[in-house]
Amino acid sequence: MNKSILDIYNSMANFYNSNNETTNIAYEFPCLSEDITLNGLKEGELLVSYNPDYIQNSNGLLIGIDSRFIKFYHLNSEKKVVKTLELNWINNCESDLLELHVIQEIRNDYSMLLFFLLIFLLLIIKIIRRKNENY
Amino acid sequence: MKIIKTIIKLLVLLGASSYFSLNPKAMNEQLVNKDKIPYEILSIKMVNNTLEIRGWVLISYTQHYLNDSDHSTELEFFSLNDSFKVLATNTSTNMTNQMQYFGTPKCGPNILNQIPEVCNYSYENVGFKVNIPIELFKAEESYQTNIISHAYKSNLSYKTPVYFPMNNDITINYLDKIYTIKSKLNDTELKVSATTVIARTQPIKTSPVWFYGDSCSSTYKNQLFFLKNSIYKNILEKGSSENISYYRVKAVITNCDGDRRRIIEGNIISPVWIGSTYVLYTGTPLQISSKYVNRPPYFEVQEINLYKGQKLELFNYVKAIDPEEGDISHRIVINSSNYIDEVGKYTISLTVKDNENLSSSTNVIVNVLANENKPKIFADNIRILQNTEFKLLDYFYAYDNEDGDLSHKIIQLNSIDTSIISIQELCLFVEDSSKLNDSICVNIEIYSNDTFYNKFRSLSKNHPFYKEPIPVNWNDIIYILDTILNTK
Repeated sequence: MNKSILDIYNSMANFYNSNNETTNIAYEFPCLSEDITLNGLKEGELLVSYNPDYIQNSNGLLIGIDSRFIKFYHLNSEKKVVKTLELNWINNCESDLLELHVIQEIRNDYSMLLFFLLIFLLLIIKIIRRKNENY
Repeated sequence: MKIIKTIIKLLVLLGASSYFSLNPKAMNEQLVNKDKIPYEILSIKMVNNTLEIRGWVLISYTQHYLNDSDHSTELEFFSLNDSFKVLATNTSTNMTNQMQYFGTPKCGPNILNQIPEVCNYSYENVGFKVNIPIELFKAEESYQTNIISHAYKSNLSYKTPVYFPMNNDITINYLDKIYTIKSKLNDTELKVSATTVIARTQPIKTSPVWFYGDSCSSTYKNQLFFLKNSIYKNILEKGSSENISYYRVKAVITNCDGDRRRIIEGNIISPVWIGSTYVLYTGTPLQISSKYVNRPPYFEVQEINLYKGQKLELFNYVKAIDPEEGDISHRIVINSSNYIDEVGKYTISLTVKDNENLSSSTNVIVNVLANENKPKIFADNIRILQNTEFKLLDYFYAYDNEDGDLSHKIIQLNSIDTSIISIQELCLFVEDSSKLNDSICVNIEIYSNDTFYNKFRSLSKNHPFYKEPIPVNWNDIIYILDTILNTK
């Protein structure tokens, strides 16, 4: 692409990460939580998502966005699309946040089993004692 | 004198500065997340032709909110093609207790930008009420809303998109438009925005809290806290208490974090309630849209008269019009019909539906007539001289058994150019008082006078057929001409 055209394209709306680098990657829980900022909108311009519906009318934090938002359009003041922006959502990162839940569930299951076994043993002991009393 | 002048200057400066600081438009609004500008929409309803929105909003941890002199609120409405702002009136909602961090003192009157672990601010009169004339919302536009809070002492203006999660849309009919306000609860996701949010068993700040699983520390033991940045996609219920909304979710425990047992979305612990103050919303924000009320379609019909044997072209006589969609004749459905091609009077019952299933019905009367009742045009092919003025009644006439002579009612369907030597088709139409008609097309031959002129001959005494052969049929009588000429 011609350099001047590339410059114009880059001066349009872009997403930026916390290091102020242009990005199209967003993280979903339980991955890194990072704010994405929108820059490059001029007076009267809009950033629009059509599915789900969303309009942002000024630069700054990209607010209210979750992994359902993938494709955005930069509309100029005549409401014509001048650029399409996409977000790639990452949510399969390694995290220990969900593991405890699984361990806890398994341990909970064992504890319940042990509890019932104990009651069962007590019952058997009681029955045996009663039998011994009869004789 | 100098002292007086200085005082006046100071007064002018003070006046100007207070004007600009009180004027919300003079402050640059920064788009921020809801954790910096907590708000709550408490009600949206129609009052005296205005859309009344009530709620509260504040910029957290920056300054005291006491009265009109230190803060104001605006709502910004914007769509793809329109935008406007409305200044709200402050109301007496007090959120000081709800925002209080226990164990720290009240901030001094001029202390700015302190975190709650240092001191607490007063949040009095942070309620707002705004009445928007309903006509400001243009038809066929879908508006999103930003709430803007101006904090004058700290010189901050923050704005954030408004969510008002609810189960059902609000619809308002006003004049010829229907207004829809929607912010779907099941379309909204919650993201926990603070680290010390307690999992509660009821939707109230003083409700019992959850304890579950192993202890994480001697301070908090196994009391459950929401994990910051965790996301809740399934909101099961919305409740409210003391001007704060609460959302019911299901959770499961995860590991310890900051000495606290944390929970994330799951299916083990329920019901768990979280206050709206500690969540960020995602999804489509509050939308206000309007469109014209759908009006039912209607028929344009006329009674149909046709002759036995004549094909019934129903759509030549019937049209279905929808005020929103235009001509929807192609959607006409025949419900019933007793029409047959025999002399008599018949009824055809029709229905049409528009896109929103509003329907309209009508009956069309069809009169099938015997052929002898129709008028008749009497016309044959004719020849007329080139450039002759063509008068219809000189050549054609029409007659009807009931109406008599209808020649004056003959309509010429196309024009004839008598300047051109040609054979041209002329079509005629006549209708009687019973709307029965007849039509016919005939050929009009335009001939030239030149052919006659060419027949005139230059007669001379000696050469009756000058420079041309004598026609055969003249051969027998040429001697008579000779005799006559010779006699003279």
